[in-house]
Amino acid sequence: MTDDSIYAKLLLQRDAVNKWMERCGVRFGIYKNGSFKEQIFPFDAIPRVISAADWQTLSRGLAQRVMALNAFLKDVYTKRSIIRDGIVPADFVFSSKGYLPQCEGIIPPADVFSHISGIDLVQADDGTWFVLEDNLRVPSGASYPLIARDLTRKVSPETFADASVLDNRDYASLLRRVLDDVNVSSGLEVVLTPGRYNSAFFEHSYLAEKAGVVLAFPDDIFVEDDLVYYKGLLNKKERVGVIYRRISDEFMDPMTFEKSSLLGIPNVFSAYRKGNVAIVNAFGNGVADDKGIYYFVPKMVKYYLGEEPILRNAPTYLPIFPDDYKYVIDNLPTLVIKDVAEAGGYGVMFGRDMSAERLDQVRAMIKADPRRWIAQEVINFIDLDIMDGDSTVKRKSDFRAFVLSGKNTEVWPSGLTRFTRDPKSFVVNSSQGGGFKDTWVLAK
Amino acid sequence: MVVLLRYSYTTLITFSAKVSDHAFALRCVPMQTPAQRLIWQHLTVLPACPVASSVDAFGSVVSTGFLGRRHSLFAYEAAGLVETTDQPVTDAPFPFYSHPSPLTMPSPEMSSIANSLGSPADDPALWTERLMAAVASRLSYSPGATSVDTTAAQALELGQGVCQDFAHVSVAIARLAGLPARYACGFMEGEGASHAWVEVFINGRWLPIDPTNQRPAVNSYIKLAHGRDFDDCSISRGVFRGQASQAVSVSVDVWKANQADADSCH
Repeated sequence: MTDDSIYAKLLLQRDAVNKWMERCGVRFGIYKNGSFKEQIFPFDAIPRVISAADWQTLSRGLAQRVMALNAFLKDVYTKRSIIRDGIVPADFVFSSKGYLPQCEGIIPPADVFSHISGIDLVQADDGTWFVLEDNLRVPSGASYPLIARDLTRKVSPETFADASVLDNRDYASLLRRVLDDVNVSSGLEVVLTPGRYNSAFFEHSYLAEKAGVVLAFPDDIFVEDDLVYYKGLLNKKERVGVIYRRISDEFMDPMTFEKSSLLGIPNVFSAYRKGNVAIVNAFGNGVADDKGIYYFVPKMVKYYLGEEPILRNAPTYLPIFPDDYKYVIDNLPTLVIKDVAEAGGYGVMFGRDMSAERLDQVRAMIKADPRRWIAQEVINFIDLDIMDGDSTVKRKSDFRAFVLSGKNTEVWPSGLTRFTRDPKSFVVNSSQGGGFKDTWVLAK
Repeated sequence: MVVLLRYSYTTLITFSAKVSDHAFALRCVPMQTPAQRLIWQHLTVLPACPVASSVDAFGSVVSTGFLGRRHSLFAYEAAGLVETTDQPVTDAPFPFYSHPSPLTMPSPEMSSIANSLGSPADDPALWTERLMAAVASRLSYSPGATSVDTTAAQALELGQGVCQDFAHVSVAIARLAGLPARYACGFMEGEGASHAWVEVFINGRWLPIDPTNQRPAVNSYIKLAHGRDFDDCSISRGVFRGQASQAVSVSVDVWKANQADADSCH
């Protein structure tokens, strides 16, 4: 253990932090073999520390990226100029599962589509940051570093007196400001949760409490005359102005999308289309965080903002382009292959783990449906120290930064650092086991 | 040719037990297009409740409402007068009309049919006739063989279907032939239920065709909605709370009106 580290005092109190986590119900639910299990989301007390200089670049790059993505979403559903100008092929947009024709022509309040964006990055061993994935639908995870900071400050106040770490406890007020910015008719602000069997239910309830908004379940909300109402006590109707929904598009409205959904609010889409309610994040964002569209994000930055992209993508190949196809087929054993439609670390395959027979199968899959796959170079990430008993071990990790967009676009000076338990694994995702760390951004 | 059509469409749903929190979305107001002018219409819902109206992304009118109180009967009546003409419909096709949708995913058989039809640009009317003939030679009309969730590929494989399936297969083939195509639904004179047909975009205009009846879908048709496939065009969707079975009775009547009908309502 490094006793001279800025977090050394905190490590002495790590058991106390974990006890508090347990008491506060910091959990993560997963479905395994068809049954729902809630488990403690293991917290590692050693923070990821990001220097002030690194953060300056990262935060500028993140804000830039999200502004371009928001511009792209508005363009795709209105003028489609980026397609007409040949920057993004039409096929990538209109055969994306995330593209919703029902959203054509709709511009949400304040022109914001992605209010809360979770951008996943990794740091390579030479210190370079790479964006791995944009999450623009309902990215989860902000509550974990938020509560972790709260608890670590409680058990080890001296740590934060000594180390000049940017406070991250303003997340709820950033979130609240976004909700206020897009609120229609000063209505009620709600966090809509599908219920307690959702993997991120802890987060839904915690964020609602911290932001001072109502935690609503689907049955609490209804739409009448294309206006959205919350059923209060004694059936008192209260107009809802913004829904921070934690339910995916296809289940949000059985009248427009999946007919069998019981989680949604019938006719909420009509209310949204009329501009009578803001939906956070907006409908149809999946078209911009598709793993195939990812390739084009640096081009979007240039196209919409006229700026050079500050952040880099991981080197990516799209088999739909002949040169990339040939490269992928020839170099499969050294690449990582991703199914564009999957999320949560599913559908990720490493060429180096495959048998010759399996490699041929994957080549055949790519040949049969090149649009479905992307390939990337494997990046050697920096390993982070993880506590293992009283010593430390090195593990792979990633970093999800949160960018909040209302009238302005702001980057939260913290984020979720996730790490793998399995020393051999390169896939870092809470759905696949693993734990999390706080992320400290240094003030200077 | 100009034809005046009166329509009356009623649906009565009786629930076996009381239900509440009943939300509905109806697409039963005829669309306004150059080929179809809506002269008057009304929509009445029972039990009475506020009915909101909006136009969806595809251009269809959606009427929505919410019945919070307990009720065991739900009924609506749509009626109106429409003037149909031969005016060309030329609205620019959305790009999604050129791409497969969930119910119109292509199959190899559809590709080979599309390839066998020749070029649409030379003689669009002839091409649509060949398309309809090709679909009709592979599908026999048999109510009950398919459901509302049947895809174009499944219907073609089965070789049976109803108007929805004829339309889905035709839309999918037209898209494979490189033509934007959309699914249309509404009423047809002489048909006691709702009907589905197809519009194919050739040489700058939408050609309405009825693959089930092997003819152009003009004059005696009233279009309520169009979209990529059936799911974009639901004439009626509803969700309610309560454990009840429902008995649904629907009646559709479309008849030729005379000019006096139109004048009397101005």
